[in-house]
Amino acid sequence: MAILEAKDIHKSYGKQTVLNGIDLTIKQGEIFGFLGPNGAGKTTFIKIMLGLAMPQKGELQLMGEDIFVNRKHAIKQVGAVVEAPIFFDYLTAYENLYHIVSLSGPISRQKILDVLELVGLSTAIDKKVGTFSYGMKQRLGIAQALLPDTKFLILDEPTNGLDPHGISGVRSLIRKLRDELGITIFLSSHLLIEVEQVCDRVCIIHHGNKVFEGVVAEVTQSEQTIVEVKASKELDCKSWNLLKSEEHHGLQQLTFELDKQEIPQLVQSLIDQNAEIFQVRSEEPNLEELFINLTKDKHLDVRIDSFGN
Amino acid sequence: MYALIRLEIKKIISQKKSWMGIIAIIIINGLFAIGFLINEQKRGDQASKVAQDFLVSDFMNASFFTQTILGPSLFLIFPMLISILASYIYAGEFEVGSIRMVLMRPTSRIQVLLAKFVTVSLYSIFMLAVLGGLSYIVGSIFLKQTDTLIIPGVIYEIPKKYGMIFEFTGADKFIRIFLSYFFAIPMLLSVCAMAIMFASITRHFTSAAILTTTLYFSSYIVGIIPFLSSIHPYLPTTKWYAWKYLLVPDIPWDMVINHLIWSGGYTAVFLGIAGAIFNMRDV
Repeated sequence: MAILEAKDIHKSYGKQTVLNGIDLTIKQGEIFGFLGPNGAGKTTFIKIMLGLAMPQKGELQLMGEDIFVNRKHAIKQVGAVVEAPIFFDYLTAYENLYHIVSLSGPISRQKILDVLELVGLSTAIDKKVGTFSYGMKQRLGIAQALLPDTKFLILDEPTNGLDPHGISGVRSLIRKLRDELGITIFLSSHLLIEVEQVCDRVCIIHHGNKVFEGVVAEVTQSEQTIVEVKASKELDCKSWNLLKSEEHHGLQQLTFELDKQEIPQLVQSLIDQNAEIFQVRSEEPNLEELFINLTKDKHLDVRIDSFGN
Repeated sequence: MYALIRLEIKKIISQKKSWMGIIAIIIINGLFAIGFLINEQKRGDQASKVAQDFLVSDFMNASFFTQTILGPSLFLIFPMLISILASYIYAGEFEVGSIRMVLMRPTSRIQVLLAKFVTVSLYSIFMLAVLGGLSYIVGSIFLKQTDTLIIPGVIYEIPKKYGMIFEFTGADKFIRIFLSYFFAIPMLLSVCAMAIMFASITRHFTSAAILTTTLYFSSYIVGIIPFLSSIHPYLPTTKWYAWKYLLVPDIPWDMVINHLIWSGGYTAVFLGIAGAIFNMRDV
C-alpha cells in the first residue's frame, strides 16, 4: 500500500520555480530518503505533503486521502518535524506535548512519558523547553511527531545541530521505529551518509526536478566499480572500458569502469604488457558520488556549496 | 476547537507578559485615585462645608470612580492592550514558526484563527472584570460609598439630546455599571478582530500592532473633532460605543442595537478577511 503518492507537483514563488513536476510514491514500512542540495525544494515539498503549502499543479494522496480535499483525515496519523523544532519555551516538555498532541485527540500521560523515554528525555519532563539545548529540542520534536499514534513520520533534517552521540542516537531511533513499530519514515536530508545508513530508497531532487529515484542498496552494492591504475608507461587498453587516461608525475594514470570481478584480469593484462604497476585503487560506488554527479552545476550556484562543486 | 482554545489560554496564562494588562489596570486605578484625592482636597479648601459634603458624599463615590474609569480605559488602554496581545499571539507565532506546529495537527486554519480570537476575547472580558472589580475596591477605599451614581454625559460624549447629567440610585446604579461594562465587550471584540486581520496580512507582530493601534486611534481622534463631522459616519469606530448609551436613564435601545450591529459587522468582516488570507497563503 502506498502511504504517499504525489503526481506532477509544481510549485513556484513568483517567477522562481521551486518544484517542477515531482512524482513520488512511498510504500508502507520503508524508510525513504529525500536528498537534495540546500534550496533544492525539499522543505517546500514536505510542506505540500502536509497541506501547509498549496502547489500550483499536481495531486497528492496521503494515507489514501487527497491532502487538498480531506487534509484533516489524511494528517491524522502523520507526524512531522519541519525545519527547526519550535516549541513554546515557557511551557515544560510535558505541557508542550500534552497541549499539542491533544489537538489530534485525547492522549494519556503515560503515553507521553513513554515517548519521552524513547527519545531520551525522561529526565527533562518538567523542565521548561526554554532551557533545552538544540539537540534536546530536536528529540522533543521527534517525540511530538510520534504522538499520538503515528504511522507515517516525516523528518526534515532531524540530526541538524546534534553532537555525534545525538546523531547516532537519532539514526538508531529511526531504524527502531521502522523495525519495531512499523512506522513508515520520510527522511529529508542533505547528509548523504545519513541516508545511506538508514534509508531503503532514495530520491534526489535538484532545482525542483527529480533527478534520481532508486534503492539505496542497488547504488551502494553495485557490481560496477571505478578502478584507478598508475602504471609506468602508456598501455593498450582498447578491450577495457577506459574512462580517462592522463599523465601525472611521469606515471600514466588510467581510470576504468568495470565489474569488480574483472579487476584481476585487468591487472594481468597490464602486466602482460610489461608495465610496472604502482597503484590499483578501486572506488566503491556510493551515494555521495551519485549525488555529486547528479547535482553538479556547470554554473556556480551559491545554493549548492561555496566551492562551486 | 476546545483543545485549541485550551492551548491558547495555557499560552497566555504561562507568559508573564500577558499579565502586563493587570499592571496597566493598576496604573490607571492609581492615577485615578490620586487625581480624585487631590481634587477632593482642593474642593475641601475652596468650597463651603455644605458644598463639600454634597460633592464628596454624593458625587465622588466608589460607583462614580468605577464608572468614570471605564471611559479612558475603553477609549485608550484596552484597544492598545488588545491590539498588542492579538498581534503577538497570531503574527508573533508566524514569525517564530510555532503556528506551523499547530497546523501540522488535524485542525483547520479557520479553527486556529477562531481559537485565537476567542482566547483574546476571553482575556479582554477578564480584564474588563478586573478593571470593574479593582476600581470599585480602590474607590471604596479612598472614597465614600453612597447610594447615588451621578454621570455627566459629556465625559462619555453622550449626545446632549439624551440629557447632561444622569443620576441612578439603589440597585439601578449597579445594573447600569454592569450593563455599560458588559456592552463594552463587542467593541473589544472588534479591536481584537482588527488586530487579527492585520496580523494575517502582515504576519509581523510589530507591523500588525502598529497598524491596528494607528487605525483605531486615528479613527477615534478624527471621530471627536467636530469640524470633521462629514467623515464621522464612515469611520470604523463611530458606532462601536453601544456601552455608553446604557448610561442614559431611558435607554435608547435603537442606538444600542445600531452600534452592536455595526460593531458585530466590523468584527465579522475583519475576521472574514483574516480567514481568507490565512487560508490562501503558505505557512
